[in-house]
Amino acid sequence: MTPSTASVEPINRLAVEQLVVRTASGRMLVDIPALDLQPGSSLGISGPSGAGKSTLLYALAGLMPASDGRIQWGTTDLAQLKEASRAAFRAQHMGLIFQDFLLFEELDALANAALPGQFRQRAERERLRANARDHLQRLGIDSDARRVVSFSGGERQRVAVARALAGDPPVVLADEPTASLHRDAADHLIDDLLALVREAQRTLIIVSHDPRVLSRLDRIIELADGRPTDSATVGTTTKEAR
Amino acid sequence: MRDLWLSLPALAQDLMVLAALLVPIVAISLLLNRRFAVRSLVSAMLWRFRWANLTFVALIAIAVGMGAGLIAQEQGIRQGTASAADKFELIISAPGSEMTMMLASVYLQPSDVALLDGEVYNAVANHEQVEVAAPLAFGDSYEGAPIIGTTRAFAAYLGDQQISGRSWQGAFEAIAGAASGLAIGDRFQPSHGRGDAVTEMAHDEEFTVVGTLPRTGTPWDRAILVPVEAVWIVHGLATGHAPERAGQIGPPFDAAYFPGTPAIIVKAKELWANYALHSEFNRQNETMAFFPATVLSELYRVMGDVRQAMSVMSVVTQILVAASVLLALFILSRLFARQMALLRAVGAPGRFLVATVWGYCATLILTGTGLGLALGQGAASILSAVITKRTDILVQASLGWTELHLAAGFASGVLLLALIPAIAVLRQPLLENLRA
Repeated sequence: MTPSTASVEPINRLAVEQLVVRTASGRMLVDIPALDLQPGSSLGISGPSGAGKSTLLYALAGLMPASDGRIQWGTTDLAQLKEASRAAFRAQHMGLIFQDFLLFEELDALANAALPGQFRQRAERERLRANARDHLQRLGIDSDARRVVSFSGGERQRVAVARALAGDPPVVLADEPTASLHRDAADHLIDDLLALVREAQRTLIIVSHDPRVLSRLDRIIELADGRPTDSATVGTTTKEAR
Repeated sequence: MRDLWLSLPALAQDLMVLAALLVPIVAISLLLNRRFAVRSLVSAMLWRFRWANLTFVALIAIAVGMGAGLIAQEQGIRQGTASAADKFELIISAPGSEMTMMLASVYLQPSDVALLDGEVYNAVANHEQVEVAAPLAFGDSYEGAPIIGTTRAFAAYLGDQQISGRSWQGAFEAIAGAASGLAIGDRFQPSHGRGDAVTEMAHDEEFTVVGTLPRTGTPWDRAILVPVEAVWIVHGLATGHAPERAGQIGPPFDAAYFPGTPAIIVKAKELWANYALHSEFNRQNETMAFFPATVLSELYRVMGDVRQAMSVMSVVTQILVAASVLLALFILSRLFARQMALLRAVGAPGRFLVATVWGYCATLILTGTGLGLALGQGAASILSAVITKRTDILVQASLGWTELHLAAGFASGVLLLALIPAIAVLRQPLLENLRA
């Protein structure tokens, strides 16, 4: 399924160079000289609010166009792609998790988790649905019991995780995934998320201000005013050290 | 090409027009939904805004129903009144208003009119081309049913020779219309006058019903037919026959003893003869001959103008409703902006979003249009039943191809326009909506 070049340069290997994201009016939001991520590693993006954490994540996801530079996932440079192609890339290779879950309240857990299948061909839709059911089960959610409107915050975020993983993406991006959860639920969720991400060698990037979350990741980059602080390169941990 | 089209049967033409009107809907739907499954999201959106959605559907249904119902009703009335006049090919009366004479003789709406004398009647009745020449005598009623004096031949003609029981033999025997409320063997005494003008005092003479007419779907269903001589006798007039033949029932009548008739209903032996009779008995200051069908078609021409006006009004109403629904959908689409942003974030193509919003709009509009057609049919049926009950003119309003075509055209147009709010969703700012 993956092209031969991808074996040399896996899709979940990230290489960012001279990335600049500006507002329409030209104000600089994010300026990253270089950022590299090995396939299957995890990165935390931290920093005070307004520092450009989410903007960087959205740029890496292709939700926000890069004004300058390269965002290289494998052999694909997101910065060169138009919006529709970036969306297609996202659908194919990325799973996204948000702070406030963004579920369809009127649908049950399985329908929410299998949502990305709705805009795929039938065979793929079926596969994605089975996968979503699998993940829900592993996350301890009863697949199609009731509409998610009655779910707790922790349960909702689990459904959102199942949705992000339903397409088996090599890359998972999460924007403050635990900020709306209480401590226990947050810890629990991160445990499960990391387990699911690591067993499949997915690359994980999490925006968070929660030290308990950040401490569990391979590397941390800290932003201030859109630029990495000096501590960014220092504050890394390795898998061996953990 | 045109010849080919005209050579098709009407049903095929109607079906093809309907199909052509529905093509845009099917085409848009296929193009938008190819390889996608939007149904669960559409249901979610329908459920989320269920009360607003119900209101939209109701608005559309009422607008479509009004339009379809009005047109169907007008058509039903036209067909009903026209077929009520079927048996009345030619009417000869004293000069005056054709409309008044037609209302009096065909639809039994009495009015004071001048009478034709016995000589004129005999001239018509004895004409070689005339098969039936019926004199009429109005004025009495029994429990709301008008009593009409006429001849056996006309009673038989009116009932298509299908009278149950028998025709009258004596002066005080009657044939009851299907809706008169009387059955064979019933006896009644006529009251003088009709409707509000009925006087309490009944005539002394008692009639016996000896036959009944089959249902004709005309105001004559309510009537009670009696020998014309009986009406004259009851009112103390001459019997239509010389004293030595005073007991005779039916023609020939003696001109000298003929009290007069407001109208003569004529059935010619052959169709063409109607025109000959029409010109022969259209005499200045003496007699007037007219075809009820012609009078009706003039009436319909006026009604047609009214119908045009009604159609335009109902189309305008539909457009207004459609516009306000689309506007409301625009506003609603702000409410599900977050869900749309989420879909884009997880990589849904723009076409998927358009398909979802359009599918949602389409469900509302198609449901509303369908319900509207049912509503129009229902309203028209109820109204028709009321009119039939009041007038005894059998009015059957049912939705025809015109209404279906109008509704399909409406739905097609609005669904085309519904692409606008659907595409507008793509222009909403993604990140703001995602973070909200």
